[in-house]
This record gives sequence, structure tokens and C-alpha cells, in this order.
Amino acid sequence: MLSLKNINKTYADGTHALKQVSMDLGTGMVGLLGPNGAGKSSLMRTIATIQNVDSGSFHFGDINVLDSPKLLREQLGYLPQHFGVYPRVSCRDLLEHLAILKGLTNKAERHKQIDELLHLTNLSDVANKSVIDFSGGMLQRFGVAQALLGDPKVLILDEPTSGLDPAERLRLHKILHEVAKTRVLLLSTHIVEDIEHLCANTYILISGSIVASGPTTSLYQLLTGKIWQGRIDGSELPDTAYVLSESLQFGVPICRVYSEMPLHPTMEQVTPCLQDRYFMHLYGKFQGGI
Amino acid sequence: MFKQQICSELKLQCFHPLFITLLIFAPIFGFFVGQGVSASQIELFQDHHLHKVTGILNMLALPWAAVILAASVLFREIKTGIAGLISALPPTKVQHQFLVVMALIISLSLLCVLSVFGLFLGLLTQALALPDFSVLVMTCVEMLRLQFLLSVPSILFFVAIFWLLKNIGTPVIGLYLVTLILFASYMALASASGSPLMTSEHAPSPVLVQVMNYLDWFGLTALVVRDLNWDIVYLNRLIIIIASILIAFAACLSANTPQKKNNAKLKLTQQVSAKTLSQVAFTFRNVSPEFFVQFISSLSFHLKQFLIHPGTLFISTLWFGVVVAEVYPSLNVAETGSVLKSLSMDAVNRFMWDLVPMFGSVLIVYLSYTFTWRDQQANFDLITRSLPVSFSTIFLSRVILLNIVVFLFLLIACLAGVVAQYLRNSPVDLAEYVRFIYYAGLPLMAKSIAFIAIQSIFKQRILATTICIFLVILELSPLTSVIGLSHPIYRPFSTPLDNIDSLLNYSHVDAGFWTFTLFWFVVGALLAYMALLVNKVSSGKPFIKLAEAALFVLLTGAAALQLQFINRQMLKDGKAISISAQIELLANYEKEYKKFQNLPQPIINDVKTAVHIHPKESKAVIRGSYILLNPHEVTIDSILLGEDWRTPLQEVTLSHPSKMTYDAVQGQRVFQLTSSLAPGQKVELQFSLVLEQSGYQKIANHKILTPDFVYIRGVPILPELGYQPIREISDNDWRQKYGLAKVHDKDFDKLLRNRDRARDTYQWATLSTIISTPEDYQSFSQGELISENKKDGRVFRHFETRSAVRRLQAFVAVPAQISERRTGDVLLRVAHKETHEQNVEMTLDAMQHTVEFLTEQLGPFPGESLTVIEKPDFGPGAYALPQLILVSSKIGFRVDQNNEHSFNHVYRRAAHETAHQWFGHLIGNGVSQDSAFLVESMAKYIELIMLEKHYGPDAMQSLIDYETRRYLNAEKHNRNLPASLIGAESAHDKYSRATLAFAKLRAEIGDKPIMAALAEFTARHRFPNTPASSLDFVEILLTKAPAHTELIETLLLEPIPATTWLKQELN
Repeated sequence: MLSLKNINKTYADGTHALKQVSMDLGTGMVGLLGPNGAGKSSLMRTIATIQNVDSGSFHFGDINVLDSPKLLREQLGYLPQHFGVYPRVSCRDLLEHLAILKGLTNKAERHKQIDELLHLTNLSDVANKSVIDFSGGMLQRFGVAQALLGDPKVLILDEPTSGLDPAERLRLHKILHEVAKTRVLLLSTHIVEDIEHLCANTYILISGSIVASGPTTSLYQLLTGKIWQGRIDGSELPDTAYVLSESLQFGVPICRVYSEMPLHPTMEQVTPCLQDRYFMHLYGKFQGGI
Repeated sequence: MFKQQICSELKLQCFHPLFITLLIFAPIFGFFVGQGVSASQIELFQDHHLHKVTGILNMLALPWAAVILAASVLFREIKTGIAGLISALPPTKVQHQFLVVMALIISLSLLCVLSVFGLFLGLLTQALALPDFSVLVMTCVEMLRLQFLLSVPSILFFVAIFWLLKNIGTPVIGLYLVTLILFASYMALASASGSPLMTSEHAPSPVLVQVMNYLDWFGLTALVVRDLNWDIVYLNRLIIIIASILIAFAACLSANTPQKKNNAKLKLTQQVSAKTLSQVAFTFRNVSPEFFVQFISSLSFHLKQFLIHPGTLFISTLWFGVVVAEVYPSLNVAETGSVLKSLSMDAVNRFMWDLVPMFGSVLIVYLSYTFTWRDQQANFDLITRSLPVSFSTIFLSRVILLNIVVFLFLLIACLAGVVAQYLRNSPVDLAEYVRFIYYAGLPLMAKSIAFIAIQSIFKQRILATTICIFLVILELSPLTSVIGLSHPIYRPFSTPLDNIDSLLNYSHVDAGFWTFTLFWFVVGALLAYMALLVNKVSSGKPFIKLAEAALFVLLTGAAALQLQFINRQMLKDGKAISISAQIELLANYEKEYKKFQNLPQPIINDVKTAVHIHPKESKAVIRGSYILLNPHEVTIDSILLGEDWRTPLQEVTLSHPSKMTYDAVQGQRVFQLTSSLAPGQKVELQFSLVLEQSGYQKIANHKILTPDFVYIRGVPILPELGYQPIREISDNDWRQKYGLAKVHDKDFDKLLRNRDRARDTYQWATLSTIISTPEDYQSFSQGELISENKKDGRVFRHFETRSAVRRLQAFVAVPAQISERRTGDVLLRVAHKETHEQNVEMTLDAMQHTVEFLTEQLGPFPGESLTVIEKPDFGPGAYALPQLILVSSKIGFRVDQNNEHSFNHVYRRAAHETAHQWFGHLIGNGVSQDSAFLVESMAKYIELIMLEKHYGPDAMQSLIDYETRRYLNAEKHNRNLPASLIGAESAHDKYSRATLAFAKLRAEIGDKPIMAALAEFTARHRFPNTPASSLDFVEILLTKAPAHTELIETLLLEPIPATTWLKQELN
């Protein structure tokens, strides 16, 4: 449905933000995983048609998006990572304004959908309050509501759960899961759990390049039997050890390594996860295969 | 520690690209000011010129340098998002801000120092010969000292204001807005307080001058006066420093004021019991974006946002108040002591020409920025840009929105004008306000389109805003004049519109207005189209289609064609010659044609002119013939005939065998006569020329060709014979530059005494003039009306003088009503607009009284009729030609001069101009070296007599008091060397000082000896006798009042200002 081929983008300061990025997105939720500064937001802005590219092609079905960005925008819902709002505008008025600009010209239908969205995002009680006075979580829910206005066939959500408390985050997951059943939903995040919970397919973006992609589970299944974890400090391991992560659990160090065999008596073989694969790319250990 | 911190901060500021740019720009700007503000070679390195140029430099550049740097430095941490980090450091917020501000002051001071070096270099380029090295060093040191004195308090003042504004939450654009308001206000205040840095004809209020002496934030009011008092200057700088410290203190107090926005964010929180799609009946809805719906929604949404903004109400109220305050106090004032029966036109004139362009431009700069960058400022742009709304829709909605706001702005001005009129019982003419809205609104509309486009073309907000502000400065400040750019196109979005005139309305500049407005609209459209193309390219479509390129070329071509059309139309006003080109022409004229001064030339004995006036076409066709007479006792072999550079003659023929050579550059024809012209022999010279007026630029004072008023003066349009000494450059600097001998004799008395009396000559002739106009026009010229015929819808009037008169011809055509009165053999007439008859009787009274008095004392003037004609308000208030007097409508006809005032301007002005029939056109001409004493000063003397005789001593004393105030004020800024009254050239001497001197003379010796001297002088020297000078008159006066020799010499001959004896009297 949405196809990007060899997209490149270099900013005026010389930063090569996107390098030969190719993606094919169909109906369902797709995760875009990457560290801060990897180029996720650049890629999201590119797909949201608010940033041009230096080279490559970008199609939405038969539409050449680079030539006719407006055609994609008519079917797009976009939630940026950070956004603000105009002062002295109520939540309902701002949604109303955005709905008209999106093309919801039928007044009755527009009002109905806005009511539904306010209800869905639990903003009905504050619908007539000024959005600029909203807390971070409320503002994020407003962002989701505006992205869902109209009939967006493509939803681009950049870090939608940032700023949400755990309960809000889970509830948003539910909404997104249901929305994604019938449309393309690209979810950008650096929180691995969000991808694992929601996305059947994942792209890992590091330093502007897609380093891995495919069904989420397949990305880490090939690590089965090679991930070990123990309650030890990383310094106790030999220098050659392939340490994936060092964390703390109740103040006790936990070390997770990639290895064909146990490197320490206290280590146990564990089930691999997306984070293992992600860290392997992040630390440059994943060189095209294991 | 502090030293390290300030060094670190300075390093941070000084390595910023913006500062480096200003570092380069500062000396360049200084150079242009130093080079552009012209002065004579003597004055160039004198203190008062150094004060002036340093003052202009600070006034024009310092506010902008300060705001550009302050906006960058004070908002640096907010823009880069490190405010939180900085606040966690050990120094308190105030300490940190103080550090930044100190470094900012040092940076700005550095720029000021560099600009002074540029200024100094600019001065050097003006110098034809450099003074000694030591003088140069001392000048440079003095300029630095002066710059330190002027700029440091000003820098403190501006930085303190910006600091306070920042701390009370003003956005960056607010700083620019305040700067623009301060800049414009200063210009207005400087003009109103009579600063010599500005051009203003009004006498300033003494209170305002005093206030500005102490509160002028640039310190220039006290600095640029002639009698400079350094104590006042130092006190002024001290007051500004103290004010700055107080403002800075307020900034410190407000540094820790919590920001409203941050608090507000904490207000709304919610416990969520959210839903899922399955729990809520949510359905997606089909969308179909439509241009018109999106446009209307966008427009109404942002308009509503604008209207509910608290600042809108505040600014609207402020604007309303400003207009009322401007209109109400002065609405019924024509001049001091004259009440005007004001109309809506007068109310509109009070705010249309300075307040509306100034505030309108500020509004457009601010709102074009706000509307364009609002989404980015609110961080909402990522959402809006992902919507299916085309850039053209957004752009158009911004343009329309801004124009709606401009319309509201004009509407408020109208409302304020109407209220002020209502309060003054002035009749309201709503049609005048409607005209105001479109005449003032259309250029602002073009500016709105252009500024929105500029904001959209450039991705850097500061760059776009700087360009917009620069365009406004070009339009509204004297910068273009300072740097010598005279073409109206260098004042963006300006049109030739000038004050609404009660006779002409807008008709004289209507064509120019529409052409210029169309040009600016094309420029706006071109910029708008560029914005669309830039947006297209920046959104990833680097290729511009052929059709798009063609449209761009088409618009550029349209702008170029329109500009070419404007230039072509402006040629109707005559060839455009820059000041420097004119000086060069004059120099070359003297070099090439001075030889004719010593060659005998014929005189013009008889003039016949046929003038066909077409007012609606702003055109006149003139055909004329001169009878030339050889008055000498020798033969004449060649004749030099000169024409006006701007309006060359079309045909010239001489009825004598000759070979003619034509110098088109100088407009000079030399006829080498095949056979010499014998003494007493006459020949005929025929010529023709066509005059037109474009209405595209300011109308010249003596060539007015409009549908409602036509006035053409023969000089300098009609050809002149022989070498014209009046064309010689009088300034020795220029003479030196062009290799001409210096004019050494500056001593007027010596100049008059040593002149070659053989060259004293009256240029008098008999005149016969036929003027044809459309039937509904009256026409006037010198001489008596001897016939009037109508043919083909035109009326032909034939005027003829009974005897020779001063050859200063004029041709007037006007649709006017004529009121007349006869006194003796003289027919007195007043030609006026039908509705402007309230002062006609009083004008006729003044004419009659003066004619009767002077006829009795000095004999009749040459002529049987005298006509006062109501003229438009631009140019001089009144002036007299032989048998014709032009008085401007406002001060002569529309004022309510009902004798309730202590003295009467209408009466005394009419008496003054009538007196010129004797003083100026009977005597007082024919000696080229003489001053205007026998003309203007004598007319002032007659004013005193007439006022006393017909209105009593109190009225006369009021006039003396009025002229005393005017004289003292003008003398405060006068830098000319003291001159005797008979040799004085400045207006305040010729008029005000003359009034005071004659008042004193009358009090001491009475009118009898003065009138006796005048009578003798007139009888001895009137045409056809030999002309004589003012010095000759004084010599006769001394014989009539030998007991008062010292007094007469002191008042008339001594080169001392009147203040020396006036102060004693006042004390």
C-alpha cells in the first residue's frame, strides 16, 4: 500500500538523516524502532509529506506521493512527536477547524465524529477548555484524536506514548490495535515493548539506515539458544564476551549476553526478545547474520 | 570570576555570525552617512557638522543594531532550549541576565566605535582637500568622544527596554515592534521640535523643545542647536542613564516572574477512564477537501483568533486614541491665530500622511510575521502541514486576513476622525472617509501581499522580517534622500499622493496614484508568485514547468513595463536631472557661455504669447514671439538664447539672417548673425513649446497643470536672452571642484558698492497675451483684458499691458468665481472657489487700503487691475507677480478670520502681497546682486502700517510679538554668519527681523522719513530710470533722518543679529 524505495535525505548542515531507506507497508501496525537521533522523526515527516527527499521514490498505491503529496494527505493522520497548540482555542474548536481542513465538509457528520473522538479519547469533559492548558497526557490524547479525524487510510504516529502514564499507554495501545485492523499504521518509538505489544512487523532504523525489517518475531527468533542471562556484573565476564545489556533488578545486576555457550556458571539460557536484536544492531555487533 | 564570565559571554556573542555581519555593516553604514550628509568644505570638519552626522548615524542605525543583537542574545537560551540548564547553574537568573546584558552593551559599543571610523572615512571622501594630519587625528578623537557621549546612554536605554520586554514575556517580534514605534516616534518628535536633522516648516512648541532637550534619548535636541550648552547635553545623557537604570531595575524585578504559560499547563489534569473503539460508537468519515471551504475556515478561524486576542482590543483602543489626539487639537487651526472651518478633508489630512503609513506599516510587518509563522511559533506546524491544504490556500487566506485587519485599522482611523470632527462641530463628509480608505488602503494592501510573500519566501524569519523592516525604513525615513536616491521607486509602496487639497482634491496626482499602485500590486503579485514557486521547490519539486517560468517572466515583464511606463510619464514633467548633474551643468554653462556677458546682447522689448491650456489633459501649448531691440550704441553680431533644461523649446526662428548652433545639453542656442544688428534695430524671435504634467511626482511650485488649477510662470520656462548670471554656482566648494574661480566678495555691502552699475538693468517689456481655455475656466495674465471670444467650446481672452511692466509673465486658468471692486483707476479682483467667499471682502479691503496708501505715497503701480487668485495649498502660502497674486486656499480663503483674533493673517497677507506691486515689481528689481530687502522686508513694513491704521496698535503689536517668537526660534538653529538686514538671505531675517527692525524704526523716527525716502527712491529709480539697490535706499533714508544715523545703521546695515538689541528691549 505504502512503498518507499531508496529514500535519501541530507539536511543543510550535512547530516545524512536517511540513507537508502526502503519500506513496504500494508494494512496493520508496523513498528519503527530506533535510538534517539536515528532518523525516525525524519522518516515519519517524510512519510507525512511535510519534508521533501533528495532522492528515491515514494508511492501510495498508484499515487506518486512525491509528485502529488496532497493525495496522500487527504488520507493521512499524523501525530508528531512534539507539538503545541494555539492559545485561546478550545479542544472542540480546534478539532472542528482541523476537521474542515481535512475535508469533513458535512457539518452534521463532522460534529458527530468530533463527539465520538472526544469520547474515545476521554476529552468530552474538557472539550470546551483551552487546549493550551491541557496536561501532557491530555495533549497527547488530543493529538491522537486529531490524527483520527476523517478517514485516514494511513496513520503516522511518532512516539505516541511519550508523556503518557502506564495506564494511558495501555489504553492507547488498545485503540491503535483496533484502528490498525483496517488501515496502515506506522508507529515510531524507541520503546521496544510498545513494538512487541502492538506490531506484527518492525523496521529497525539506526543512523538513518534500515538495518533490519520483517515480522517482529522473526527478527529475534534466529537468536534462540544463544541468549544467556545471569545475576552477575559484566566486568566478571571475559573481555571477548558479547554483552547485550547490563541492567539492575531490585539493585542486583543482571547481565545479558549473546553466546553459543554459557560464559559464567551463574548464567542461564533465556528466550530471546526484540530488544536483543535491537541492541545487537545498536552496538554494531550484528553484521548481516549470526 | 566575573571577568572570566563576561569574557566567556563576550566570546559567545562576538563569534555569532550575526554580530560578525553587523561588524562589517556598521562601518559601511557609517561611511554612507558621512559621505551622504553634505556640507560645505568649511563646515565639513566643524563641530556642528560632526554633531549632526554622528547624531544621524545614531538615530538611524543604533536602534536597529540594538534590537537585532538583543533579539539574538536575550532570547538565545529560549530559542536553543537551554534555559532550564542555565537556571540550574550557580549564578541567579538576574546575575546571569546582567552578565549577558553587560556583554551586549560592550558588543554594541564596539559596533558604534567601528561605525564612527566609517563615518570619518565618509567625511574624508567629501573633502576636496584634506586638513593637516593633526587636525584629522583630533577630529577622529573628537568624533569618538562624541560617539561615546551619545551612544552609551542610548545603548543603555535600548538594552534596558529590551531586557524588560523580554522579562515580561514579550516575543522577539515585540522587540522589533517597539523599536519601530520608538524609531517612528523619534522622527515625529524630532520634526515637531524643530530639529535641523528633520525638515519641518512648523514653528515648534517651546514646551516640546524643552522636554526634548532633557528627554531626547539620542541627546540630539540639545546638541544640534547653535548656542550649544554642554551642561544641558550632559544633563540629558545623565537623565537617560538614570532612566535606563530604572528600567533595568524593573527588568531585574520581573526576571523571576513565573511565565503564565507554564503555570497554565498545570491547571488541567484528568483521571482517565478511557474507552476503546469497541466501547465507543466511533466511525471514520469520508472526506472531500474543498478549496473554498478550507479557505473560509482558515480565514474565519484565524480572524476569530486575532479578534479575541487581548492585544487587539488594546491596540485598537490605542490607535483610536492616537488618531483622536492628533485630529482634535489641530482640526480647526489653519495657522497661529487663524481658525479653520474644518472639513472631513482636514481631519483626514491630519492622520493620512504620517500616522497611517507609519502605524499601518508597523502593523503589516508585525502581522505578516505573526500570520506566517504562527503555526511554527505555536509548534503546531507539523500537524497543519500534514493536512490536505495547498500552500496557495494558506497563502491566500493569510493575505486576505491581513487585508481585513488593515481595513479594520483604517475603519478605526475613520471612526476616530469622525468623533474628533463631531467634538469640534465640524461637518462630516462620509464620502471623504470612503476615499481615504481606498487611497490609503490600496498601497497598504499591496504592501500586505508583498510582506506576506517575503515572509513565505525566506525560511529564516529574522531575514524575512529584516527585509520587511528595511523596506519600511526606505519608504518612511529620510534614508533615500540621505543617500541620494531620488526616484520614487526607491520608496517602496509609496505613491505620489499628497495632502488632500480643497481645490484639487486628489485630481492632480490621481493618474500617478493608480499607476504606482498598480506597479506595487504587480510587485506584490510577483513576490506572491515567487513564494508559491519557492514553496513548490522546497516541497521536493525542483523542476519548474515551462508555463510557471513563463508566468514568472510575464509578471517580471509586467513590472518592468509598468516601471518603464512610469519613467516615460515622469518625462512629461521634464527631463529628470539629479542635483549633482545640475551642478555640473551650471559649472559647464559658466565655463562655456560667460564670454557672452561681455558681448552686447539685445533686450526683449515686446512679448506676444498665445497659451492654449488643456486642463483635463494637464497640458499647455505655448507659442510666443519676442521683439528684440539692440539698445546699445554698437552692433550685435551674435545672440545667445537659453531655454529651460527640463522643457526644451520646440521651434525657434529668428527673423534675421543668421546661422544657429544648438547645444542641446545646455539648452543654449547661438545665432551668428549674417549681418550685424545695428543700434536701435529690432528683430523678431518666434518660439513654441509644449508643457505637460504627469501627476506622478511632486508638482513644481511654478508649473501646475491640473484639471482644477493651471498656473505657469514664464521664468524659467520661456526663453531668455544673453548670459544669465543667476545660473552661476555661488558655493565656493563646488566652484573649486569644477575649476571655477572662487567668489571672494562675501561682504554684501562691498558687493553692492563695487558692482558694475552698467549691468543694472530692468527686464521690462510690453506684454500681449492670448489665453485659450475650455469655456468654464477663467484665465488671467499680466495686462488688461481687452477682448474675449468663444470658439469651438473654448474661450480666448486677450490681455495687453498699457505700458512696459516687469517681464515676469504668468498664465493662470481656473474654474473660479470672481469678486471685484474698483479703487480709483484700479480694478481689484479676487478669483475664488464659489463656496470660499468668507474672506473675500476682507481681502479686497486689504488690497484697496494698500493700493490707496501706496499710490498716494509712491505713485501708481504699472497696471489697471490687480487680481488675487485662490491657489492650491502646496508650495508657498502666497506670492505676488506683476498684477497677479496667488494665495493658498487654506490660509487665505478657508480660514474663519472673524476679527476676534489679535491680528489678522488674511488681511496682513493680502496687504503684504499687494505691497509687492511696488516693492518687487516696481522697485527692487534690476540689480542682480541685491537682496530681498526692498521686496520682502518692505512688504513687512507695509503690513505693520496697514494693521495699525485699520486694526489699531494692538493688532500691530500682536504681529510684532508673533514675529519675535518666530525670529528667536529660527535664530536658535541659525548657523549663518551674522549679516546686515539689507544683506540677509535667510527667511527669518527677511521677514521676522525686518518686522522687528521696522517696528523699532517706526517707534523711534516714525513713518514720515521712511515714506519720504521711499518716495524719493521710487521717483528717482523707477522704470525707465536706472535701477538701484537697497543700499541706495538706506543712503536716502539717512538723509531724511540724519539724527538717527546710528539707529538706522544698527538696524539695517550692521551685521549683527536682532537678538543683540531685542533682548535688551525684552528685558
